Amino acid sequence: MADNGPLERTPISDFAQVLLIARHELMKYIRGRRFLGVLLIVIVLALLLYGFLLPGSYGGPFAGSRDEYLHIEPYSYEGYPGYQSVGFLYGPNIVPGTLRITVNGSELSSYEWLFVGNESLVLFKQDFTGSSAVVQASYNFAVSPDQFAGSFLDFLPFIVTICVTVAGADSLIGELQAKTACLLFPNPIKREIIFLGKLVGSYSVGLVAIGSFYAAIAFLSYVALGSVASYLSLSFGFAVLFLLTCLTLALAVSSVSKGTTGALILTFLLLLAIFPMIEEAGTAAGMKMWYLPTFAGDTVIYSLQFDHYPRDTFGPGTATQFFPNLGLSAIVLTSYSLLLIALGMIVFKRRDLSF
Amino acid sequence: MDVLRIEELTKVFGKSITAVDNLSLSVRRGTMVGFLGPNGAGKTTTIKILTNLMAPTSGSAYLEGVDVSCDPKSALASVGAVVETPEFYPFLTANETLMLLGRIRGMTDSETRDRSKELLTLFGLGERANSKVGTFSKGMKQRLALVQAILHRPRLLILDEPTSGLDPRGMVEIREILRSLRDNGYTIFMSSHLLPEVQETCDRVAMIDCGRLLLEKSVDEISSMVTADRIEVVLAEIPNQDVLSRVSDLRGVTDVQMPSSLKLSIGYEGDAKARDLLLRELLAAGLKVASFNPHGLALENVYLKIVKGSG
Repeated sequence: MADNGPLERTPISDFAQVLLIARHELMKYIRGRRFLGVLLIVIVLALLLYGFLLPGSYGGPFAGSRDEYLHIEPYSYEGYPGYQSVGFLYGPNIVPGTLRITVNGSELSSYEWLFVGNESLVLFKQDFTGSSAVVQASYNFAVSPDQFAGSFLDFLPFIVTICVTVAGADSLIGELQAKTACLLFPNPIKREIIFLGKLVGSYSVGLVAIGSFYAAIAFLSYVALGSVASYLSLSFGFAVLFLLTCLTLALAVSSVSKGTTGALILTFLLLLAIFPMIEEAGTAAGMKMWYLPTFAGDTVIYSLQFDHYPRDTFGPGTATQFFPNLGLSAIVLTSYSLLLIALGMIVFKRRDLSF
Repeated sequence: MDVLRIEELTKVFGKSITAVDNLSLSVRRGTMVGFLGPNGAGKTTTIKILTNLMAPTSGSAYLEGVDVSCDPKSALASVGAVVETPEFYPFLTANETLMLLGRIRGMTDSETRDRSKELLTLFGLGERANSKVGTFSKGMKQRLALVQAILHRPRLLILDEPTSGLDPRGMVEIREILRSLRDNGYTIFMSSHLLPEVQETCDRVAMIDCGRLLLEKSVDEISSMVTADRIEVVLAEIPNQDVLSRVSDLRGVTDVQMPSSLKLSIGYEGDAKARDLLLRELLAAGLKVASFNPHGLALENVYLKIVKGSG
């Protein structure tokens, strides 16, 4: 063997090693088809929502025009004096300024009626009850871009959970279980660097997945409604932060788990069942669970309404609703991420790799 | 300077299982040390501590003067290791695996490529260089483990049973390679169950049992310690009774048996010098000696006695 003897070596920098491990981790997910699997889930979900599930929940397409006959009843409430009858509109999401009322085919002047948008009804100064007049409404309807995006983003926690379970939850414990730790660890590389490299690699998978989901939302919103939610990019910012929090949680679980199956199941349950259940219980008890990562993660949806952000409401039973504060939630998610990174690194560094 | 130094190393699992017990050991540069012990003696635990797979309960392990626990990156910079039965990333090819490890260790890509090609050919894996490691047999993985250990020309090799899983021919090849590496200035610290392998290849031997160091000597010193139990002599000619009775009277001979007409099995007590004298006396007595073999190895004898005594 042509060998000139041993050489003194200087390993590459910690930063370069992080990138190396991240690239290796990404390759693992691509070649193992996990990456493809996650992307497929995102695409299929987006298409299912757009093509079937959301139109079903909205009772029809996202936008269009509609004609309907109004059922007229007497109006005797004091809320709007001067009006004698009321007609009920079926369709939601009526585009303001497009409503036209006709009586027996002739358009009724807008001075003669009042549209109460939040209740989908029309008040008439004239009493049309009992008469043979045919009262018809025609209008354009469209789901607002905020509503459209929000309907998709209701499923973002599911996508994030899938991402971090598939690419993250067994990342560390997998090295021990497969004994590849015996190959990787006896090298001039710190365990903290291995942890960070795997974090970066797994995070890349999640970023591509949720980035694709948001791109699909924007594209489909433009196709269906001709516009995109104004604060979609703000929502994406919170999504990216929420993804990081969930991923660091998955890695922390992985660093303490005894096996890959346990790590996968625990991560999945924490994000999709345990935290949401605690949140529900707290809300029912009248407590705002602002410190839970899943509660703070709801900013993904509510940030779409940045201009008219919802306020907490209190009432009996399910009437109580809490909404996460944007600034506080950003702090909560960031704090969780930093704490879990530190915890995961410390545990992983100290862990004895005995098989 | 000692390339490897272990000082009062102890590892306790749980509250009561002491795998390594106050072990102190050092390995000088350019030597090959065999690390022997029965199953459960603490060999692999010691190697895992040396290679940053475990932390000691107390004591220290130094590689090139750097404490492994405190600064593993510096300590392992010039170390190559094979620990336990090697497992690789199945989705990577052999070349990709070596490229990853080469980069971590500070090699350039071109150097890694050249060195990989040379070593994979040397270890009989040249044709599988671009095959996924998931398709490799156990023996091929063992060879690849050795390739990655010496890829970056480390100053110290730490090998945990390096010929495990190899066929006899493969074992011989690996031993030759290890001897060649030692001759080229590498320092090798290897554990093994195969006493002939250690006796043939190593300069020094460290024996442990129950986590404690029992003996640490050169192979020559061990050989001179041994008193062989029996010596097998193959004859070229059937001896007469007169000659046989003279053999029984030779100093150190306890008994003489004849398993066949051309074989003698001599019970004997004496060291290597005395065995040399015995051989001369047998020839002087008129025996036509075709071969003269002390039964068992010096190392084996010492090992069995020491390990038995430590129990």
